[in-house]
Amino acid sequence: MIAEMLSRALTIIVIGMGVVFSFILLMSVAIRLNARILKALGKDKETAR
Amino acid sequence: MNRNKPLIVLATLAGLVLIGCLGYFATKARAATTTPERAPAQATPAEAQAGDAAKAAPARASAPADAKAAAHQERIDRDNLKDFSFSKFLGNILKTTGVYAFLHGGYTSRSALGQPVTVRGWQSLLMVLVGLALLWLGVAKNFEPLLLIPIGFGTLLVNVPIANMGGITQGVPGFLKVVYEAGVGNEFFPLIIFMGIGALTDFGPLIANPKLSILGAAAQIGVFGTVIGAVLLNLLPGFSYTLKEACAISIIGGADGPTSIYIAANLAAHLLGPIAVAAYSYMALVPLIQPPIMRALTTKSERRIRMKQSRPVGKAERIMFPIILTVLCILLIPAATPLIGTLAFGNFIREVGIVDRLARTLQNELLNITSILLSLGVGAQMTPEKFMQPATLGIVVLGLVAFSLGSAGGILLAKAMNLFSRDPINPLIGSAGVSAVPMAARVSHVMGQKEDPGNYLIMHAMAPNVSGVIGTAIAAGVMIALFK
Repeated sequence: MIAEMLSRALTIIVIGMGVVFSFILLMSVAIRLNARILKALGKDKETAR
Repeated sequence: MNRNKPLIVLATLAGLVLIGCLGYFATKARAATTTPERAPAQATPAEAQAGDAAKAAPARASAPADAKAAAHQERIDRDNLKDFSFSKFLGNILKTTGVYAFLHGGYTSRSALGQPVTVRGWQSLLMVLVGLALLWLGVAKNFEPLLLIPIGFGTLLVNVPIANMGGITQGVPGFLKVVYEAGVGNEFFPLIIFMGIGALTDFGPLIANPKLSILGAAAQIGVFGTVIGAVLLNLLPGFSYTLKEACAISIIGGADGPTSIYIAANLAAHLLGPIAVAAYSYMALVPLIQPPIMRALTTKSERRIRMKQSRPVGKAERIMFPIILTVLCILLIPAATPLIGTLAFGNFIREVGIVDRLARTLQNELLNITSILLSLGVGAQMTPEKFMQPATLGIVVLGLVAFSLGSAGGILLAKAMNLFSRDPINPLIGSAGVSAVPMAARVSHVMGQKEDPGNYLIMHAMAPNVSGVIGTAIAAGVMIALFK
């Protein structure tokens, strides 16, 4: 019973961490891409409040 | 007058005691005299049967009407206190005091597994003491007072006997029941809090240096790693966590109160009270828990690393960030959209700059009102049948494990990144990957300054810190998706 639960828990860790890392990496790439697009459009000069 | 004061008090007390004794003896005497009076009126079973048979036919015809009239009369008699007597009145008053209820009272409730559980009065009294302890932690020790004070008071109120503030009396829900049903049980309040957090959070450091956001992802090892811990705890007698409960407990590692409540309400509502209290308590203990882990996993020279100053972030980038975040969430993990979407909405209102009134409302009034109601609702779950379980002890232990693992995960990944990164990263900022905004970032900064007073890590640490909020929300989405 415990062994079965442990194997499921391991699967949850592997998949869960995989999804979280993928999402954060994609977000990071999207932020960089967005910065480049804005720079190309000349919209990056405006500063925040 | 002052000299007579003790005498007056003593006389009053003596009077009260005398009245109590009189009431008690009067009740006893009345009970003794009424029993024999009733006896002759009672017929033997045979007589009663004969009498019943004779009356059966006409009685059958008028039975419903008679019963209705009798019930009506009984209600009127009750409302008019027909059998009112001094002793009975005093007895009722005594029986409805908190002292009597704590000593002799009790009620039947349902356990987490749906089995009937008898809760004794002393258990409610113990929970009242737990509520007072939470109040003390919030007021005297300044541990997350904005949350622990309403949670403590909620705990106090829900365990008041007879008032039944957390239950239903004659079909009418009590105050705390209404609060819980209105927004905690249906996960509404945590989402409002997320809107407020979004409106308060500056994602600038993350946008300026997106590579640091990975540290926020690494800290989620505390969340997922603790699932294994919960399963292993099942080897001990008294513990029997399901995987669903293990996931709900492990989210404490994210050090994010609203997310913990959201997941607990979603996956294991019966554990909501202990999970929320553990999450907020550990968040308050960040300055105590993290420094030993940081010192153990880093060298002196690593703690002295100075990081390159981040670039300034433009307004357009800030406005676009919540949109990017929401779109990514919708496309990849829609289950996390309630959390990420509300966070992004609050942040968009903040950054767009043309709806300052809304931003101010989110940051202040709405956030404060919802915090009060959410915390009271959490306190409403702190009842003996839910709190006085071995599971609660496990939650306290597992919460600490989750928190420590999360802090360590961020630090270790920062060290690993230093092997490949052109610009060095101070590993101290890795521990800020657990959410606990901004306290975890502040702890990284203070630890860095202890080694090098001229080293300002706060803005660098804010990047993994806010990334941790997003990471925990995604981890929560993964768990919800898992059990859908």
